[in-house]
Amino acid sequence: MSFLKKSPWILHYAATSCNGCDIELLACLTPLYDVERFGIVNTGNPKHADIFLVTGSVNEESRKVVENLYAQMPDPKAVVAIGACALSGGIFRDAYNVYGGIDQVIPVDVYVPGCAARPESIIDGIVQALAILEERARDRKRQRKVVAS
Amino acid sequence: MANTTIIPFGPQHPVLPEPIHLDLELDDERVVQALPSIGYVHRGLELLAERHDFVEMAQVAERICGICSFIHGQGYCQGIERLMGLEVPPRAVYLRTAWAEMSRIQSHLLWLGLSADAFGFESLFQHSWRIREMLVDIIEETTGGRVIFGSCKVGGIRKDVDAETLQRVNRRMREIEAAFDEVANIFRADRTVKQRTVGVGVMSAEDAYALGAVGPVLRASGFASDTRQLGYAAYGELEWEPVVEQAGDCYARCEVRLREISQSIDLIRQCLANMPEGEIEVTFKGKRPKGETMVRLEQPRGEVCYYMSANGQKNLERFRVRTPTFANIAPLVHMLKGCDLADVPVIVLTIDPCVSCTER
Amino acid sequence: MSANESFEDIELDQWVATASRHRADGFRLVQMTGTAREDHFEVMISYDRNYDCVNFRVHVPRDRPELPSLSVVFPASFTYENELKDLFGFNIPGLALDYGGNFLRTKTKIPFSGSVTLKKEKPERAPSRAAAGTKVAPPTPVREG
Repeated sequence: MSFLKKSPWILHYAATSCNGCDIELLACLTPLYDVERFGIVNTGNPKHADIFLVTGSVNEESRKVVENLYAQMPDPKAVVAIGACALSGGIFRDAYNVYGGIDQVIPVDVYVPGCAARPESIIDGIVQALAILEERARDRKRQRKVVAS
Repeated sequence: MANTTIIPFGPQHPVLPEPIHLDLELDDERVVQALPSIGYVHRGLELLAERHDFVEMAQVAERICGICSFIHGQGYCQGIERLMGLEVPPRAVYLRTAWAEMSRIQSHLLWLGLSADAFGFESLFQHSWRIREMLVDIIEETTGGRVIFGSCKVGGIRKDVDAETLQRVNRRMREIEAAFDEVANIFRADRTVKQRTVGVGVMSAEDAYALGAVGPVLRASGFASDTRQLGYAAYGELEWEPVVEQAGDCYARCEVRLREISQSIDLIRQCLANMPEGEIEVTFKGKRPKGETMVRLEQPRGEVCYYMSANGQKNLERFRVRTPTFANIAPLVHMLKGCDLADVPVIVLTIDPCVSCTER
Repeated sequence: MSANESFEDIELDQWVATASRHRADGFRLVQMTGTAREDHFEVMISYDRNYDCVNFRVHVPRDRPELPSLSVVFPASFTYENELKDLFGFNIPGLALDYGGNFLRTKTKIPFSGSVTLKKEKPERAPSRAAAGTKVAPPTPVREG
């Protein structure tokens, strides 16, 4: 299986985000930042996605959805947590329905700080996730070879 | 009659930036009943008033929602100021009003983009957001934040804006207006837009009123109700009329928002032209909020209510927010009844759902 | 700003009657909310007509939190009533669209009843699916390389 070096497809889910990071993420796709020039496409289908972008912290209801979406994504995959809430719960950390950061339920590879995270830092996060993704793809290939020989 | 099928819509759906879930009961292609279920974004921030004191709480209030962020902060501060009997200096009031209108424009442009995306007109989505970026630049220049402004605080505003910047804002408003008019023409005249919106999701004025619809949803059905008419902030001193449309369909709701953008640009101009000089905040050392109040403001999505109850302590006794989308859920359920499955995303988007507001 | 703010206390048996009267007078339902006081719950309802907002309050005893539904009068009241049910543990007889406590599913049940106080503590770990007893196994994080 060959793996495209660039052009990851991203899946976005707002766990309990206040929308701030979500709009900034969408702003990345629009003319000023235009991540599509790097081949980054926002997809609605977890089965087509390489990078999972989660905004907001985890609550009772959203943790199931986050787990589900993560499980539906094919390997290799990377997770980017965007915004203060996704890192630790942020300002809502003490609220009764919030468990905390995304890493409470799924493994997170890149943490993008900010409230709300700026588009530049989100793009930087995706680029870093790309490196992780490539490494994972390489490892998988190597493992396959070992099994085959 | 064919058997009814139940199709789950959301919480993760391509047209929705936010999670809301609808169970659509279908008879063939027609929706018999739509049952919304929420709770994906519920954080329970009303109770955070127990942890954060009344000054800090303004930050939490602003983060109820990232789109209507400024107006949430403004509403919260207005409530506390009323409880403490503070008189905010006029300059702060005018700047607040200008920022609130900027936040309305960016929210409406954002919505126009998303709805264009929902009916499959992607280039229009890109154009709306291109104009929105121009406005976000102004917001960033004057407040420092792009989506969470953080410029409103109890007793006034955090930072003054100098005259030169205000002039620049005025100039840029012209550019934005010109760019917006172009896009607005597409929304008004394009066949694709019309075909997806005219006659879809019609709601009569009586139904809208009885179901408690607020904001553009209510105004698109021919009911001139705009909470800004209460004259809070500087609205009482500015010249404007609520925007009303009669048809009550998705196209009318779109038109209301288009016209409101032009209106907001005008309101910002008026604010800039009449900007008073002077202080930007009042001090309230040692004072604590006491009593209870109900504050109502007009958000991009409609009327928002804050109920605050304080007993002279550092923390509020109760902080309650009723957001516009929450009031628009019942009208949405009504509109979805009997529509085609393919129209569901468009109708859902025309109430401009803001889920993180709704669930707090 | 609503110029004349009024908060009026009414008796529990006047709850539906007040709503019907306001409906007939052309008021619209603005909001409904609960507040947990020390020895009772307070439920406030607001009506609006021509930017004139009136608020009414009832006291509901803590040991029997029950409030008749306004579904018949204001169809839109179901959202507020389901919220009262989920956050305050109210029993609402006559509720037209009853989510049965699933409108807002929360980590702590009926958080506004006054039993939850927010403390600064280490956030508890979210239970994984396996721990919650569902069939699907949690995705195992594989850190390769």
